[in-house]
This record gives sequence, C-alpha cells and structure tokens, in this order.
Amino acid sequence: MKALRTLVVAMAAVVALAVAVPAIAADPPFPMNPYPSATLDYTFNLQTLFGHGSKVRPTVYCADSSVFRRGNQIVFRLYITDAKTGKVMTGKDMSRVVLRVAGQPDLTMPYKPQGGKPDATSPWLWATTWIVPSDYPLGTFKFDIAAKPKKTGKWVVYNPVVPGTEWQITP
Amino acid sequence: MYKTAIRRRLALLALLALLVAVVAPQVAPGEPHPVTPPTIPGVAGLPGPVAAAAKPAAKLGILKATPDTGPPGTPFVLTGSGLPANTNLDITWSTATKQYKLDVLPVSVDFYGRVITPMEVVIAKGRTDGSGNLRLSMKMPQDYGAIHDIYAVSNGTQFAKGGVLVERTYSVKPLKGPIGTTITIKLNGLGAQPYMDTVGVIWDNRYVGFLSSVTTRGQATATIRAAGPPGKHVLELLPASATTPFLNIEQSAVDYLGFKRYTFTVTKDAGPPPTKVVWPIKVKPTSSERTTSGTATIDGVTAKASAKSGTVGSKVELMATGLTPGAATIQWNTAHENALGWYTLAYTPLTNVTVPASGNIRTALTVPDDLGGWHTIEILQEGKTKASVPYRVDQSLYKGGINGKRFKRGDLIKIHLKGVGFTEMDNILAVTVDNAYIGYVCGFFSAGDTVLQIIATGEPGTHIVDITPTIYKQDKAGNDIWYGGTPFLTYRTDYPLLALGYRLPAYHFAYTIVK
Repeated sequence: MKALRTLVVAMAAVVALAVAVPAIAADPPFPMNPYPSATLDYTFNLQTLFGHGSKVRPTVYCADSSVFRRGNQIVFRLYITDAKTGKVMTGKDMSRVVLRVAGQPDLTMPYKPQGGKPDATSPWLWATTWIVPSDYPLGTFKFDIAAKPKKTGKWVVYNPVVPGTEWQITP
Repeated sequence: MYKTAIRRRLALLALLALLVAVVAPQVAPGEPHPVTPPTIPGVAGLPGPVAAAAKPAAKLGILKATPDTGPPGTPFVLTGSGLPANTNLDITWSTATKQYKLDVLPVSVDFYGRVITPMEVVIAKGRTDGSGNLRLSMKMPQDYGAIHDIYAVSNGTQFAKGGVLVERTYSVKPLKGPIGTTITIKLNGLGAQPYMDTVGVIWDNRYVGFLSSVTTRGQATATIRAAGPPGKHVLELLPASATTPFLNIEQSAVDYLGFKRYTFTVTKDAGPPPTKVVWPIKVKPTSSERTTSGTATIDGVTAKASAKSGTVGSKVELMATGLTPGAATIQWNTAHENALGWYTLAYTPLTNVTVPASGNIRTALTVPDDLGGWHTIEILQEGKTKASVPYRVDQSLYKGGINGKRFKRGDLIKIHLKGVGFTEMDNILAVTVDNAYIGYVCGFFSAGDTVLQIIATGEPGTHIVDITPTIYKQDKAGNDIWYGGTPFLTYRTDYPLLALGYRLPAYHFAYTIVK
C-alpha cells in the first residue's frame, strides 16, 4: 500500500510539473516600475478621438478611435514622459510639439487643459485637432509627432503608425 | 474499504494522467499549415508582381486618385506633386494573399482559420516630369475589395501615398418566381480582411447562411431558394463579422461596406420542386495529403483502384502486382468517434483473397456503408502492409433522401443521407427550413449514416429544406471565430477541403403540407 501511495505521489508531482512549468515560463513579470527606461528617452501616450468640430457626424463624439471618416475632426492629445525619470513633460519642459500629417502643413500641439470648458481640475495635455479633408487619400493614415525638449534642443519623433497599429481614413 | 477504493481510483487517475502526459506528444497533431487554394475558373490572381520592401520618406507626400471609389475595373487618374523630378516610379497597391490553414491528420482535417498575408504589388509604372509631377491613367484591378493603399516608390522609398475604395458589387437574379426558385447571388469586391470577406444572407429576418471569398479574391457566387408563401419577401445581404450578419454595420469602423436589400416576389406555389443535389465545381486538388494512412507500397508492389471515388455500395476493383503468393487480406481504413468525442483510426476487413503464383490480384470490392471522405484500401499479408490506396467516399441520398412529398402538420419528416464524413469540415451539414437556419446534422458517430428528423409545421403549401456543407469546430485557431456550423453557401468554390480533393454537395428538398 505504501509503495502504491509513493507511486501516486510521484506521478502526481510529474503531472503537476508538466502542467506548471510551461505556465511559469510563459508569464514574464509585469514591469511595475518602468523607469528608468534602458532604451528610450521619452514615452508618448497618444489618444485620437472624434471631435465636436466634425463636418461629418461620427457615431459618437469623443469616442476613442483609430478609424476616421473624411470630414471627421480628429482630436490628437498626448502625454509625454521623461523615460529616465518618469516625470510628465509640461510646457516648461518642451519648446515645441508638432503633429505632422502626410501632405499637410505641420500643426503645433500646445500644452493645454483638456476639454472645451476647462477648469482647475482639468488634466493638461499636448493637443490639437485636424479635420480630414474631403479629398484626403483613403487608407492607412500616416502621421507622426515631433517634440523638442528644452534640455537637449533635439527633436524627438514618435511614429505610432506601425504595422498592426494603423490608423485608417475611410470614405 | 472505502478509503482503499478511493486510493485505487486516485492511483488509476494518476496513471492515466501520466499516460496522457507521456503519450500525448507522440500523437500530437501534425503541423497546421496554409494550403494553396485550387484554381477556380474566373478568379483573378495577384494584380501585379510583388513589390520590393520600401519605407516611407521622411516627408511623405500624397497621391490623389480621381475618382477614388468604384468597383473593380473603374478607371481613375492618379496625380501627385512634389515628387523627385524626372524619376521612374513603381506604383504599388496594397493587397493580400489568403489561404486556409489546415492540419491533415489520419483521423481528421482540423480547421485553423484563415491566413492573411498582406503585401504590396506593383500595378503600374510612371515617371515624374521636370517639376516632380506625376499623372497616370489607371484602372482599379480585379482584386479583393475595400480600401487599398497606393504608393509612389523609387529605390525602396515611398515618396507619396494615395488610396482608393474598391466597392463591392451585387447581383441577385431572378427577383421573382415560384416557391423553390433558385436565386443566384453574385458578389464582387469583398475585402481581404476580417469583417470584409464574408456576407450574411437574411430572408424575411431569418438567417440563411453566408458567402465567403477567402480564396476567390473578392468574388463570391452562391444560390439560395425562394421560400413561400406567395407574396413579397425581403432578401438582405449584409457584411458579416464572422459568419453571421453584422446588423448595425453603419455604426462600425467598416460602415462604408454597406449592405443591400432586395424584394423577391414569390409568384405562386407550384408544388414541391424535385430533390436536387448540387456538387462543387470540379477543381484540381493542390494537396496530396490524405486522412487515414495515405498512399504507400513496399518495393516491388503496385496497387491501384479502378476508381478514385464512389458512394456507399459502389463497386470498385482493386488491382495489385508483386504480392507474395498466398493469403492476403484487403482492409478498409477509416475513423471512429467514441462516446467522449475522441477520434481514432479503425480498420475493417473487406475480404480475404488468395494471391496466385503470379503475385497479381484483381478483386471486386463493395464500398462499405461507412463514413465519407478519404479512406485507404490496404493489402495485408502476414500482418504487414503491402500496399494502401486512397479512396474517397462521396455523400449520397438514401432511398431518394426524403420520406415523402406530402405531409400533414405534426407528421415526422425524415431526410436520410449516407457517406457523411469524419473530418471537421465534412462531418456535419447545416440545415435551413424555409430559409431559416435551424442547426446541423452530424454523421460521424453513426458511420456516415445521417438522418434529419423534423416535424411538419407551418401553413399548408410548399416548404423547402436545404442542407449545406459547414465546418464543425472553429476553436483550433484560438481567436478566429470564423464559421461555426452555419450554411457555407460558397461551398462550391471557396470551401477549405476543395484543396484536398473533397467534393461535398448541398441538398435541396421540398414538401407540401396538406390540410
């Protein structure tokens, strides 16, 4: 009986290991404190939304989206963070932030409080809007955001349009 | 006593678990892989040669297409400015190749969804003038529909980007006729991406099935039948996220795909049309992979069957040379599903023969009342395989299929088929009654013998039952919820098993309810 019990325990251990080991190996720990980054100087957290200035009414205003119709107003807003320290970059830290849309003039993104009627509690972001022209090319929407930190004076470019995270312009 | 019994059960469970852990890798499925689709007449290939990899210029310009919306074949003018002067440009077009991903096992063909490989192809060449302007007259190619990116490329750099919407076109004919009229639906310009390559069909707010164009480059043709009673009926063609219609597509990211509504007028009830079996178009298989044990011979032995396929009860001659004089067994290799839904191989002796001194045999066999699909006929001598020959069992009607043409309300209607298969793509069939999807029938556990039993309901008059190929399991790919037991109306041209040489039909029955 003892031998049988030992066999059972040994087999259960083998099976448990077989199940558990791949699960442990497959789950790297979440980076609870990503700062300082080993590779990046700045991180950009971008949102694109349907704006109230749309000439073509979106399904829902202010909804977060990466697909916009011609005539929609796109609100671009973002946080920029110093990836070494985790400090959120404000108007005191950046000399200029610019939205660069393919085939369009550059648009400055001022650092300002969120919303049409901001108050003291409104969060501040780098933001601008752009209405998709009625003849703007359909398909993948190419843009990037360039920022110039005061401390380096060198432009930093954020290109969010990479395969798998593409923005689209639709009719 | 009780504790001892528990211990014994625990020990047995542990042994079983260990056995599964040890044995599983040895019986692990083969590698799922994309399968080259067969050539379908009228289906276009890639609209141009594959373009070399390119990256956008630091300052990307734009190209204007005028018009930028239209069905395949629409002429348009492409213009751009601010490009490098006096430069030859490749005009690239974003598209994709699409294949089904299958895993061909001895006991099944498992479905792993669709593989979409995005790519750019060169559809035109142009040259800028001395001021960097470009102007080209072009046509939207016959390709997958929806939105395509266009780039002007030189030496690996994309200098400008444009885009067009290749609209889908619809044709539904006829739009009137008696109950049972065959209605042909032709679509063109279905997209390459999910949400864009399937269209759901609705008849009077009832789900009929779906059309797909995975391997047919945006084209899809299918038929449905007009269901009664006489009068006007609404036929709708809507984009489908998977197989089922997306009913508020106008609130989605692909609202531009649109939908179509038609009115079909059922002119009269002329009684039940004859039972019809409609087979897929004939195509050349692209894969030689087969279920059960496939083709094999040992050195010096040849073997072949007088036919590659037939129905249950068919006669087939098996011819072989190079065998050892003496006893031989002809064996039928098939599959079996146990009560837990596990698939296993199964073997049935068909006949014993005596091989003469010549070593040659020619023996008549009867295809057993068994599952459909690819099997092998195996020649065994002294317990060893000398040869195995693939043979496909096609589905068939049993005694005309339906147990009558006139029923009273409450009567039991039976539809009987033979040769339903054992893979995940031929072991069930989807059923609609009067164009309303009601479920599926399965033939695996019953060795291909498949009986649909429904109760006669509804108003007096003619009613229709349509049975269509469909895919049983769709969970293998994890996140691809495609298909799922609903009528695959484009089974004739776009079905995954066509590449493996399967021919799966749809069945069309009708009956009259009398007072």
